[in-house]
Parts: sequence; C-alpha cells; structure tokens
Amino acid sequence: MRLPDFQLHKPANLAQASSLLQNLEEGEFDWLGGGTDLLCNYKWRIQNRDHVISTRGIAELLDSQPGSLAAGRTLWEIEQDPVLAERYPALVAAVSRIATPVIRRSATLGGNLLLDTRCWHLNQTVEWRRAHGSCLKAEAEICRVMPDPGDVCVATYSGDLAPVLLVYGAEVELARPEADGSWQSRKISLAEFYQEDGIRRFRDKGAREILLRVHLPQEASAWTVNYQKLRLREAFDFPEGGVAAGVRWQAGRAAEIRLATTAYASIPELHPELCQGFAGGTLEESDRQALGEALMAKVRPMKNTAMSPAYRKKMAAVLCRRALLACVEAAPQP
Amino acid sequence: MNQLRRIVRLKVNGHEHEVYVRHADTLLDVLREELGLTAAKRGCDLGTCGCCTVQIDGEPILSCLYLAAEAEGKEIVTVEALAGKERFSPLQRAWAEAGASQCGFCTPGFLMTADALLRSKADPSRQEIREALSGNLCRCTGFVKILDAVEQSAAKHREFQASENRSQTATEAGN
Repeated sequence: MRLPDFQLHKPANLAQASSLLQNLEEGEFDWLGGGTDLLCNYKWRIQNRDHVISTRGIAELLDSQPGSLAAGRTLWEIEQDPVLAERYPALVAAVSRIATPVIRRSATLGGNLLLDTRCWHLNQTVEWRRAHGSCLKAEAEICRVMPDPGDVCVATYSGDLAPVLLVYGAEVELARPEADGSWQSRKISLAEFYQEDGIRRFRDKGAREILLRVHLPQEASAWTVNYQKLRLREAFDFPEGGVAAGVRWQAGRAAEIRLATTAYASIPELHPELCQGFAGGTLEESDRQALGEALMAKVRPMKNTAMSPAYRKKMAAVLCRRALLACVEAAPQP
Repeated sequence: MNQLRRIVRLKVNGHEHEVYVRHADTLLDVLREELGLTAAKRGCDLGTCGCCTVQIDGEPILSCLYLAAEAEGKEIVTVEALAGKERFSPLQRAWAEAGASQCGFCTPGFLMTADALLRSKADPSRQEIREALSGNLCRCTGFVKILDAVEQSAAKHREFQASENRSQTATEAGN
C-alpha cells in the first residue's frame, strides 16, 4: 500500500513549528510521532491530511525534566530507563507490553496517549469500507456499531499507558502557538483530557496544540500500581480490555484506591466512585471480588473489536481482581 | 519542483545515495524501488509482520512505517550488508545450519532483529530471544528453529570470543 501524497515538514524546534503553523489551517495537517499508528491509518485512507508535521526532531519534545516525561521519547527508551523502572515500575511494565519491541523502537509516549480510537468498521482498507457502506468516522454519516441513533462515534480507545498514568495521577502539558510565534503552555489533569466521542476524542485540545510532556506528581512513586491487559496474542495486539489498579498503602491499609480502564470505551476512564467504600480496608479477597464485579457492571464494551463484548465485560472483573491482588502482594510491609 | 517530492540523501549499507522521492514514500518504498535493495520485504505493510525490518543507527526499525525523508542523516543497514565482505555472517550461517528458513520471505526481517539483539546482548536467554523476535512473524517454521539459530549463533560467537581471549592471554604470557 502506498501512502497518499502529503507534504512532510520536519521542524527542529517549536519556533520552526510555529512558523509552519501560521500557513496551515486546522484540519489540513497532522502531527506525526513514531508513525506506527498514523501511517497505518493513512494507508487505509482514514482522515488523510495534505501536510504532516514530524515531531521526531522537535528538541522540546525530547527534553525530559525531573518529574516529567517528554512526549517524544520512544517507548523503547522508557522501557530501558532504570530510573523510571525503579520509580514507576507499573508504567515501565505497561510499556513493555505494548505492541512489539520493533514497534516500540519508533512509537512514542505522546503517540500512545493520543492514540486514535479504533473500530472494526473503520480500521479497514478503503475498498472494504466502501463495500460495507463505511462508518461515521470515515465516509458515512452513521455509526455502524450503534446505528440508533448513529450520530456518535463509539470507536474504542486502546492506549495502554493512559490507565496507568491516570492511576498515578498524571497531568499532561500542552503547548499552543501564539500569534507572535511564541508558545503558551498549560497543564491539565489526564483525567480531564479525554472526551467520550470517538471522533473528537479530547475535551478542548486544538489541532495546533502539541503534547509536550507528561508530569507525574511527587507522590506517584508512593503508589503500588499494577496493569492487567487482555488481548488475543501476547505480542502485537492492542488491548481488548485493560485495567490499572493503584493503592496508596498506609500502615498496612489501603488509604486510597484507584481503578482505571482502557479499551472499554472511547476514552480511558478513572472510576473513583467504585473505590470509595474500600478505602481504609486491607483489600481482602471479598473486597477484590466486589470491586471486580462493580467494575464489570459499569463497563460497556461495544461490538467493535475482535473479542465479544460479553467476554470483555466478564474479563473486566478478572483483570480488576488480578491487578488488585498484585497490589496487595506488592504492598510495603508496615 | 513538485511540492510533494524532494531530494533525500540516505546512507545505506555505508554508501551515500541521493534520491528524488515523494515526501510520503516510506523507507521500504525507496530501498526496494529506488535503490534496488529488495531484501527487506513488503509483507503486511502495516507493521504487523516484521518482514521489512532494517537497522537504523543500530536499532531494528520497521521500514514500512518509517518515512524515507525522516531517515536522512542516519545509518541504514539492510540484510544485504549483514555479512560485510564475507558471503554469510555467522548469524546467517547459523540460520542455514539450523534450517531456520523455509520459504525465506520473513528471513531478512528476522536476521536484522536478531543481529541487533546479539549486538546489544551477546548471551541472551531463550526467553529474551523470544521477546526480541516477537515482532517478526514466520508462517512456515513454527519458530523453534529460528530460536535455535539465534542461540547457536550466540554460542559460536562466545566460543570465538573465548578462543580469542585465550590466544591473547597466551601471547601476553609469552611476552
């Protein structure tokens, strides 16, 4: 498959990117990170743009600072970082389970967080989609997964890192260019970043805005976190369901519990309301069972990935129990 | 000049090339169609099979998902240069001896990934080899002989290193 024509821009820094953006309209360009997802979509003729701006050379996106991760870092670099492995073991473990080592050499942290939503009816060749009548996110005006009413895209978000970072309480730093060429940056909580709409995907991220960094709060390393992933094969595949659990232990008790999911909706989600009744306890088997069942009851997977929604839903309870058990087993001794 | 095409300077297998390509051409397109280096294969073309794996600055990279224009200034190595001036590299020889190729379509990708692994770790465990090669698919061999080949190559390399060290020690003792 040949990629459709586009003009590639390779800014070396944000100042050069800002000059470029002055001549480009929103909807006319895409940011290109590692390319392991976007270029596949382009080959499938999904939302092609005339201009592509590579972030690979933008110096500011490679500049990690204490307590933060630069969005342009490859997943492989994160996986190999001993400091991160010590401070945020669940993050590094989740990274090591994304796709394959060869893909992780190119794919970036930013690309994984901004991963486009996926759907059986969308991620197909253009010929397949045309024969099928296409879908709301591509060439049609109706969602094939939920045709009634059919005006909302329910494509699935499948990033592995968002649930783990949600549990760690991460914030994302976005930057947008100003008229004078400077960049204005802002931080928002990752929990408020996504919007449940498979097409819009983000609450208020403009096309010109770029994800600069992910900030992890100082206390993040005090959390015991575990991520469990359901997928067809143990390599390659996107999650069919993913649950991250985090516990902040205090004197042998779970002072705070967090649960987050991926691949169960168009967004990764935190589920604070499910955890409220369990804080202060010791997360016995019955608690883990109850939390798993509550999560299973809440998630609403759609029929748009390889595994059946019923199975994925049941597995939410299993993944939740496994993640919580791992947190209990890794709890610091009081 | 066409705004959708550009001149790209690539260093492939130690040779500099200047090619006039589309901005949207992948490295795989250029290697195969402009430079005539057809070892890297077009399999799934979506990053799923690993047949197109080449090395960029020593790392295994999927050339079907890497734009040629982004490979400027980098050292690109394809399986054509794996053996250097020899006919086969030790890894390639181990591949043949273990019977790790059947149709051979996936072999160049496997070789480039395995070579990168052995360069970074001379003594990988079976599990580490499995993990490193998990992005490469073979539809003929069932993978066992491929894993055997990498293990054998690593073992031979260790034997060679040990004998080199022994001769060096003997030379130093003689002096």
